[in-house]
Amino acid sequence: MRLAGVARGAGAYVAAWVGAAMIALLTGATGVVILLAVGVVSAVAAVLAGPMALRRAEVHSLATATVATAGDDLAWVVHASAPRPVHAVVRLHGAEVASGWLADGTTMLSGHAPRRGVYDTAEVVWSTAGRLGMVWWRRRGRFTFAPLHCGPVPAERPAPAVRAPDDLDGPVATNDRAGHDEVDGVRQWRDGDEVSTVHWPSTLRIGEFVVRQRTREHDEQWVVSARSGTGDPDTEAAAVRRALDDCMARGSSASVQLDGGDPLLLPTSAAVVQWCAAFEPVVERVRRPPFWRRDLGGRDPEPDSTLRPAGRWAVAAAAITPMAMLLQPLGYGLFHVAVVVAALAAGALVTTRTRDDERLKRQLLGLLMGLIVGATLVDPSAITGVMTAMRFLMPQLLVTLCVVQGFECTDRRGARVALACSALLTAYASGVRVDTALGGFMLTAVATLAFASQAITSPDRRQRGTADEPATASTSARGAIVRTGAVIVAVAAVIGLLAVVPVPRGPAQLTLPSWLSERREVDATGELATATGSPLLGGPVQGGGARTGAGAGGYPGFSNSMDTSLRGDLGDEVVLRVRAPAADYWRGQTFTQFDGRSWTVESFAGGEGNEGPDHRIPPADGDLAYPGEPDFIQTFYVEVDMPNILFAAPRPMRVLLDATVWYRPDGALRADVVLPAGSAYTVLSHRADTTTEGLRADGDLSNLTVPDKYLQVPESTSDRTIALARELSLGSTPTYDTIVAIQEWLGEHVEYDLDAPVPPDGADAVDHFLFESQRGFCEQIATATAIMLRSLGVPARIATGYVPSDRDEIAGVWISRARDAHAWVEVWFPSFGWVAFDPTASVPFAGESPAHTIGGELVQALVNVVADHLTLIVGVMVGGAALLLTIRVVAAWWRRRRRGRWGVLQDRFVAAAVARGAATTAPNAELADAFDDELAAMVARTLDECAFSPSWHDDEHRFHDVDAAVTALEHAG
Amino acid sequence: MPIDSRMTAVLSTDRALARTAAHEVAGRLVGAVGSVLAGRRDQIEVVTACVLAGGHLLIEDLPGVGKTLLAQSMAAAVGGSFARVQGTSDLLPADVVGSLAPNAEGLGLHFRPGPVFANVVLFDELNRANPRTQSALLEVMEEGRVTVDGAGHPVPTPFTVIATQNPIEMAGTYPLAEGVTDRFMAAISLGRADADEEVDVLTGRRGRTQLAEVSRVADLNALLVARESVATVHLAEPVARFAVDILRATRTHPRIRIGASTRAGVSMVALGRAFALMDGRDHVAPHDITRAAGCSLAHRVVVAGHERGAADELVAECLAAVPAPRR
Repeated sequence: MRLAGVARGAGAYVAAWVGAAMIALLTGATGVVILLAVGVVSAVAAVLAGPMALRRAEVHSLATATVATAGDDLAWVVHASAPRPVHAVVRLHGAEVASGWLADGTTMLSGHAPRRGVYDTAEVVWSTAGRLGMVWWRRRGRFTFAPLHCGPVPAERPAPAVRAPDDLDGPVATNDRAGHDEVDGVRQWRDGDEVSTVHWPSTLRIGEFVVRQRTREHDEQWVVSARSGTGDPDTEAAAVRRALDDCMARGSSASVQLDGGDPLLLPTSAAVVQWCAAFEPVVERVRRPPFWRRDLGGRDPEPDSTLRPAGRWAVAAAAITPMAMLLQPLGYGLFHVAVVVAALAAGALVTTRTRDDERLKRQLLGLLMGLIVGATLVDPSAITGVMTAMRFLMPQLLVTLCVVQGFECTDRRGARVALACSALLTAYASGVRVDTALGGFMLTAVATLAFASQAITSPDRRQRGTADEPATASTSARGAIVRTGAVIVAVAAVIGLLAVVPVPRGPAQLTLPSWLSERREVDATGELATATGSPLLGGPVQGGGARTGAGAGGYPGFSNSMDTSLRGDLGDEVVLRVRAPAADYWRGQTFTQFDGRSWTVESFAGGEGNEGPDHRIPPADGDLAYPGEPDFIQTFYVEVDMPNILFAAPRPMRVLLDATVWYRPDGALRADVVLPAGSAYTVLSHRADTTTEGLRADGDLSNLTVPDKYLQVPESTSDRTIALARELSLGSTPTYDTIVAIQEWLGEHVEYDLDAPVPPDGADAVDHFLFESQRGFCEQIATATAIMLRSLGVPARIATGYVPSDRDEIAGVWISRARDAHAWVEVWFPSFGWVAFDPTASVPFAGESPAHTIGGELVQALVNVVADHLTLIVGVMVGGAALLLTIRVVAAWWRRRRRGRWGVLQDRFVAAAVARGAATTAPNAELADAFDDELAAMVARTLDECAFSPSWHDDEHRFHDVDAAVTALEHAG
Repeated sequence: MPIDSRMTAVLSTDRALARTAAHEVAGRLVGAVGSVLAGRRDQIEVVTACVLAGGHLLIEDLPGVGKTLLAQSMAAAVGGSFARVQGTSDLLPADVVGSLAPNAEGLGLHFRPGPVFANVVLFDELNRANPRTQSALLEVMEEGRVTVDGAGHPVPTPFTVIATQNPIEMAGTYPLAEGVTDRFMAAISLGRADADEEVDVLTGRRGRTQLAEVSRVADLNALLVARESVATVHLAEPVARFAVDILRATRTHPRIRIGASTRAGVSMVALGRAFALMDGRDHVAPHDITRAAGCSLAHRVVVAGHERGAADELVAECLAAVPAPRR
């Protein structure tokens, strides 16, 4: 078994894969990596499909006619076993003489006779690419057959021929006057001569019977002379054949005389051909040219490159999902998608309805359709720079090119290019999209692409062999099982491959995404500004004392002053999608000053902001200097209108946003624009390599030289709060373990409750929370921790922002919802700077976050989905099984209706006999022989009677007898 | 009930009765011939079917396997007259079909019938007779009459020619022309009896010694009625198509130069009908056709390259390639 080649158009797939790999590098999107793995597994499957199909395909024998003339049509009978059709080529001395598809059993391949010569062995090369039709493998075998004498085409000029002298033993003399014969003498009487031919005068004169000798043309004998060693035996043989054929045509008998030797009588035209074929054989092997003189593309291993309409439509259908997938997140509506789909359909229609020579027409139509689609999609005003062009021009251009290519897609190669384009679009869309619909889109796109790639190569019904065999019922069930198994293996292979691929760190530095869907400037020199119309975020506390703080849905943490007892009524809307390799705190603000009830943001002088778009952020207060490049890349996709707060994982070192940004000393970043929904910006942070051991190694945290503001404790702080802090630090100096102890105490004694009671007026919020209500939410927990730490002399502050709650494993993004707005403590460590602590959110330390792989995450996601929707999945499976069962029952009913009850019995009988090795074409009586059972003979007889007897009448008794017999035969042995 | 359907019912009952009678006749014929000829039941059935179908039979085999015995015992069993012609190169048509001879009074000529005027004619070594004599058989075999000097003379009915030829010893023979072979409904080779049966022959329990014992198991009229019954065996449309497909397969097979003729198809179907009748059925089943094809096609097709003996194999290939009709 050897590799025969790769079907034309495979290069497009490779190019698409490389393109997708580039997209993966540029965007760092997990979805594209998943697609790349699917591509790798498909390629492996495409390579393996051929050998698996070829392994069971075997050519057994070869036969052909024994006499032929060079160049004539000549059929070859090939006996082969091939579960799926394989393509075969018959070669004689290296020259191809016949080719075609082999079915199981005997197939006749039409071809032409080879050049003059005698042949008794031929080489058969049979090849297949399996169901996927991409990578072709071949096997070869040499077969001997009854010798084929291939005579030359008779020449124009015959070889010289002379009439042989009459021999005495001529034909019998008759009185038959038919024919233009002549009397040319007399001879003695021989047995068989008719009496009426006696030449009486001579008889009387001689005294013996003498008859009139008549010679007709067909009694003549001619000798054709052939010369050997002329240097051109083919020409000589052709001339000899012409001469001999002329003799034969006249009805004369012909002999051939080689170089004046003894004449050899050739009694039949077959003998003539055989002699000419065997005359000085010229054996010339057709050799392949050396590789440097071969066509660059090599030989197309695919015997047939025609694209059937069904395949063409499948290709068009496979393009719809990627296009919709790409256009939708770019803000295009149903109208645009409809235009593109119509253009795709037009391409399919034009290519299936036009003839091959109407290429110009197709090209013009394609150009026109491309202009229409391009004009519909491209909005030049949206393009303002390279980054926006990446987003606002390239996809449109790709879609347009794919539409135009659709008008050129007339063969399989074109179809593969179109599919590769669709695959590339899918990858592009997977790189652009971050929403949850991505998984479904990808699945649909991959499924349609897989279907289409099979549809363009699957042989049509004529090549699949003879009519519908009754045995297909069982084989199709087996086929379904095999196919399902193959899909499961492929999915497992994809996941297994992805299990070694780490989650991408992020996009390439070149293409860090950053754009504003709309520029809404605010007049705030480093101060907070709210996006007008944003229902969710920001704004100073209004109507103080109200539980809902900053209006419906607002979160007080994103304002200058945060009342710890307030928490907005926060919903489930997705606020941020963050493409990042690991979860972290997306910090928005920090608070330093506490007055017993509220935290207040540090005042900031403002001044000139820093021009973008590439911001290098200097260390803020308490940040340690880090000389290297930041390595934790996060891209924030803003899903709802946001204030001018830039969320970022601590500690941000570089921000990409085309706006003026103020770097506040408290670590917060504020822009001069609000962030409307649909915007994106990228932050590169340096995450200190925080680990439990490292933090513990920092030891005493109370005697650090830090500004007093981080140690400030409000006047109202109660003694019992301080006492509790002391108690939890075990009387010694506060260390990392003290923080843990405080968190544990809070975990044990405090109940997390979003409806915690509001402390009475004048009461200290921390004291009330710790000792009175003992119920609270993250703000109160964080505040209590911070105040207790400060009372021990440990520098601490409060940070607010978002924590990621969900992970979209397909898109590779972390999802933060409105209710994920959060407050946590930041404690200053001499070796690490500010370190976030939070007992309620489960964000691991940077140095301890486990390394994720895409495969691992996918498996986790699958497990989660299965666990979450167990009843649904079971329901769907039961429903599917019920549906399958129903389909089978309906199919059986339909078959019974179509075939009648006796027809069903007949089919069962055939299937049982075929299972025992009977030929599918055999009549019933021969099928019965397969069983060696009287019952079988009875069944065959009754079925024949049912089918062919004029006196047949249906009879319940007989039916039941035969039914029982067939059942017995099915189960026998 | 309308009159015509009642008639049909009556007719079909009659036909059923006739078929039953024919079935019995066939069984008795097979039994009678089988009592003489050792073994080879299959071939005896083909011969019987051939006689029932009104065809002629060509037996190709070596000398001494019982060809003549088979023909003689068949003649004895049907109770008709038997004649035998030995094929030689100087045998003239007149020697076979008859000739004009002077009247006893010496005035004018009268027709003196030849040996073909018998119910069963055994033409031994047909291929040794010259083509002219072979051709003399064409008319009598096809039309059942002999024309001498412009006057037709019908041969007795039933009329069956059983010809033999030796396929091995070909020297001094005239190979049968296609037109002649096409006249034979079936060609079989007898093959050798197995050991037990040969013992029977040597000890005299079977063989020529038993020929005298063969009693007439059917009279000629019963045979004629049986022949009519054969024609009433129903041939369903799918089975007829099957037969046509087989013929077509022989015509398109690459190793067959000349495929089976339409007359071959007629013979095949007639033989198939006889097989069905002998099996006691009122309809032709596909396996009757395949069985008939096995013995009625091979001698008619012309194999490319003159490979003798390959014809059987090729016909089997054609049969395997055509799917049999079923319910």
